[in-house]
Amino acid sequence: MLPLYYEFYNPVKIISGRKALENIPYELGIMQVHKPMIVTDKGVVDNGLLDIVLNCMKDSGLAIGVIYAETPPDSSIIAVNKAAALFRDNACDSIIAVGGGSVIDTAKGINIVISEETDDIIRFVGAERLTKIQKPFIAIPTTSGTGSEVTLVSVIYNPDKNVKMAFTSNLLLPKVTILDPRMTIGLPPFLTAATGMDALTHAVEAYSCLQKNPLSDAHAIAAITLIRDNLIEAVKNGKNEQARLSLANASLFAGAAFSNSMVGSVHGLGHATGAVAHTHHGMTMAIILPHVMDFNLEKASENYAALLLHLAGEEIYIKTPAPGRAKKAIETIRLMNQTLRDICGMSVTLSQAGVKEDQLEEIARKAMGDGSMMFNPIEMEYNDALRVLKSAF
Amino acid sequence: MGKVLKVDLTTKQVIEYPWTDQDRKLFIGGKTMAAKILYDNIQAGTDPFSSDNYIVITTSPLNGSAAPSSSRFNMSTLSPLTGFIISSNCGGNFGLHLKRAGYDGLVITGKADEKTWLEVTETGVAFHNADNLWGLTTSKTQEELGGKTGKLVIGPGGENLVRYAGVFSQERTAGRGGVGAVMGYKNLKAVTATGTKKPEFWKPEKVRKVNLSWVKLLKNHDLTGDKLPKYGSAYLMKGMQKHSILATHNFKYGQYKDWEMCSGHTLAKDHLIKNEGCVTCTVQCARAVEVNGNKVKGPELETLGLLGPNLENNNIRAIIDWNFQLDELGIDTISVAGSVALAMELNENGLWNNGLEFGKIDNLTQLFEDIAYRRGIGNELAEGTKRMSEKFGGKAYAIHAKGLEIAAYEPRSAVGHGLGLATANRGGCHLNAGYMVFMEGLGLQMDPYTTMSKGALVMFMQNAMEAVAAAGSCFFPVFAFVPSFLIEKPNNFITKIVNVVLKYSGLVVNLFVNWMPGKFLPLHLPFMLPHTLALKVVTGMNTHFGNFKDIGDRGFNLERMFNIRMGLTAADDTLPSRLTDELQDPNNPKSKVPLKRMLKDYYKARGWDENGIPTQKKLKYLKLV
Repeated sequence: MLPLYYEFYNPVKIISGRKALENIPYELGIMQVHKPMIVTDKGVVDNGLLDIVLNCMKDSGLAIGVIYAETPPDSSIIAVNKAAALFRDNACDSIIAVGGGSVIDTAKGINIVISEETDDIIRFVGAERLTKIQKPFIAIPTTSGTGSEVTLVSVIYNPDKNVKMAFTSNLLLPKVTILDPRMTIGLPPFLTAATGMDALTHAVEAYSCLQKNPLSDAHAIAAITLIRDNLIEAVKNGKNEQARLSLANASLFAGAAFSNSMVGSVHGLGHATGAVAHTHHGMTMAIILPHVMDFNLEKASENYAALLLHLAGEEIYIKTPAPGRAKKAIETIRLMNQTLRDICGMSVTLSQAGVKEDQLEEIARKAMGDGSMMFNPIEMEYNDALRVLKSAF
Repeated sequence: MGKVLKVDLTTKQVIEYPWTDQDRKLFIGGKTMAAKILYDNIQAGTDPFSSDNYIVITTSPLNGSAAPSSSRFNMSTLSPLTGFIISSNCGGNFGLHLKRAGYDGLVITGKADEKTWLEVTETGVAFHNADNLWGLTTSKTQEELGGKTGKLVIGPGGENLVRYAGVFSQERTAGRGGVGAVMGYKNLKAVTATGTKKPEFWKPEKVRKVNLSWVKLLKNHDLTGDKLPKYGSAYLMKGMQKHSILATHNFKYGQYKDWEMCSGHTLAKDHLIKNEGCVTCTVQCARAVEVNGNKVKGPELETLGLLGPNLENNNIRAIIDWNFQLDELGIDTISVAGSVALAMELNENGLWNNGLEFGKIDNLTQLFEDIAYRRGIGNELAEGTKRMSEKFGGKAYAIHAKGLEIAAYEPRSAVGHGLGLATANRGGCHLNAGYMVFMEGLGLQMDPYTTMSKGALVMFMQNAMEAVAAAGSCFFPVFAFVPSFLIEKPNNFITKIVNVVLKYSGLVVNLFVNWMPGKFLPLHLPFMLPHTLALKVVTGMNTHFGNFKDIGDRGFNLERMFNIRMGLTAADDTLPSRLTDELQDPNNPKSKVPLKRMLKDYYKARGWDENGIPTQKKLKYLKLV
């Protein structure tokens, strides 16, 4: 069923494979740039991932402009400004981000500051407020993940106002993204589970939110299938390259899906929870997802029923009577959470994740201000949000 | 508003089952909630004895609200006796304890690889090995489990997959349809529940008020306030004999010469220690009697009728002992008695040489034991009348509908009741039938032989019973539905007029109730189903009479749709030919059930096509598609 109107945009060149990183010099060459700034964080450096990337570039004769490895966990304006200053001082002409969502978002932020020639990024907060073409940008994700390498969003923390700011623009999309299993092979089980469930949430929300379209659906389904078949394996046996590459792809597909169709109340509530109780983003999504699905059931049951096939496979889909498929999809996700808890201790309730009961009201209030809530299949008001949070507690 | 837990016995996984506010609005609780869950999960062609079958245990909003007679909970599954849905209702306190643990329902599937009992608490479900419990009687099992918990147990009958084995909570039972056998198949011996959560009400002060006025209504009614507490359900035997609806000699006759020796009055006079009842009930209809020096629960009406007149037995002492024995073995007394009656008649007719004879009772105690352990002829009887008649013959007098044995009311002198029996979703159940005998003799006395208005009235009564069950209430308060005055004075001219009016009420009932969309009946009729107001003040939902009867209609149609998926057709809406073709009284040409004629009216009232399938229009209105 075609929507009456839709838009889909994903111009990012995707390179995926066992030695994909080796393509960096070539890609920079095509873009006619020679002096990249590398944006990354301590974790990536300490785990030796940056060395792998540098190794791939060393024989090419490329000069690295500068390496900024101080990106904080939720990104921040301070980091962006600092890094942008480094970019200018070293006369760099491109950016390579190596890291998770915060690193990639920071890189996007730096790109805004540099390309718009501004020193006040706050002027560009919001949707489609950029005016200049951005500097060439390669994103190399090390988690699977936020999918930021193919999204038009950058979320950056503003410590002065204690808020996360969102920048949305098609111009922010990288030119190239490289998926190489070496980047995620060392991801510990808990992070593998949590980031994997983040990707799953993106895909499920993209498939059921108001702005969905056939292309975002296709990406979402591709993501779900790969996660279904590879997440548990990757958590149990991190060295499985094929599983790691599959999850990296799944995360990318899910990112492409939600970049175009948006996410809903899971992210709305999840962002707020993270802001108030500082819980891990992906894990929070996993906890809240089935409860929001319960809430959405009345409007979204057809979508959820269709997803059952991809979430649980053919056999279960056929064995489940049609009226029960939507609920079975929710059950499948609950089972996934439960299994991940058994394997690597991921929390399945907000209380297990460290949220306090008296924080729930504040979370619900904050969630009301989150843009994602707009795209949820059923409008969630404060009381609804509080009830959903309570049931996830 | 608790959670619903799903337990997979195969994988030992326990997760929360999605049950939304929309579900609560449409399906309330109890059997209707269970029907929805079964409908969403059991695919066509599933074998009742398989790990794919589900047992759904559901509570209702009135549980824990202190409304009178509101301890009732429900167990539903795909029945190994009928092959269709069985919803089995029970007054024991398991449901109340389940709610205290914080759960409105338990959805059990899979099959345990070892004998298991489940412990449900506020933190979740623990799996325990049940080797030390397996083989114990129902009361011994409950004793062993000990403690102040709610308990659900099966006896040897369930362990040995007797097709009509039941489940026990205290001395009450979810008796019909073989839920106990499904538990036994899944290697599940028992479930316990404990917790401390208190129920939340929408308007607590109003709940108290409504409950008090409801209790007052019940206490002032002749049946619920006087006769039922004094004589139990057995009180009704007097009326059954009077109106020729007391099944005798395997439903060959409608009256029994020694009926008084088995009646509620005799039971009360000679054997009753005191009356007792389910927690929260003001009627307290249960009979406490003595067996082997112990105070135990005595027989209900159907047990007295089917083990008494129906077997040509007038020894009430024997019935009391058998009732206790069957409870201990964990077997439905109605189905076992019906099977024995058939076996006796097959023996009488030379079709099966089994040593069982009408009036001969000295071999029955051993027989019941053999049935529970599937020994000798007990193995055949454990299969139920339908399968027995397929093997040995006697289909004309295998007294079941859809495979579920019919209880002691002989429908040839209450043909509306016969219609109800033929169309009830769980099979030959007098309650699922709408309990039309109440209109056709036991409460009011409308013309019991006419087909007029029966279709419309049966639909209304069935829907009402369905909704009452979904709300969590026992059927007995519904006796107060008919004003006490009309029951106490059957010969008063007003009562006579009511009885005549009922005969012609069909069109009115259809137009103003059955076919009227619920939203046009936003009333609370205080004495006719106080449930509506009680539900509203407890839940805050708009459960006025119109919505309430729609909930009943929805529940009934949902179970029907489930059955259709499992293979039900109009051909299954039938009764054994003894009841439809043979006259109960050779001098009364009307004394048989004119089923075909009534079915036409009934399908029309229901909004079903001529094949008994609900139309799309009907299903859309009920929000089932």
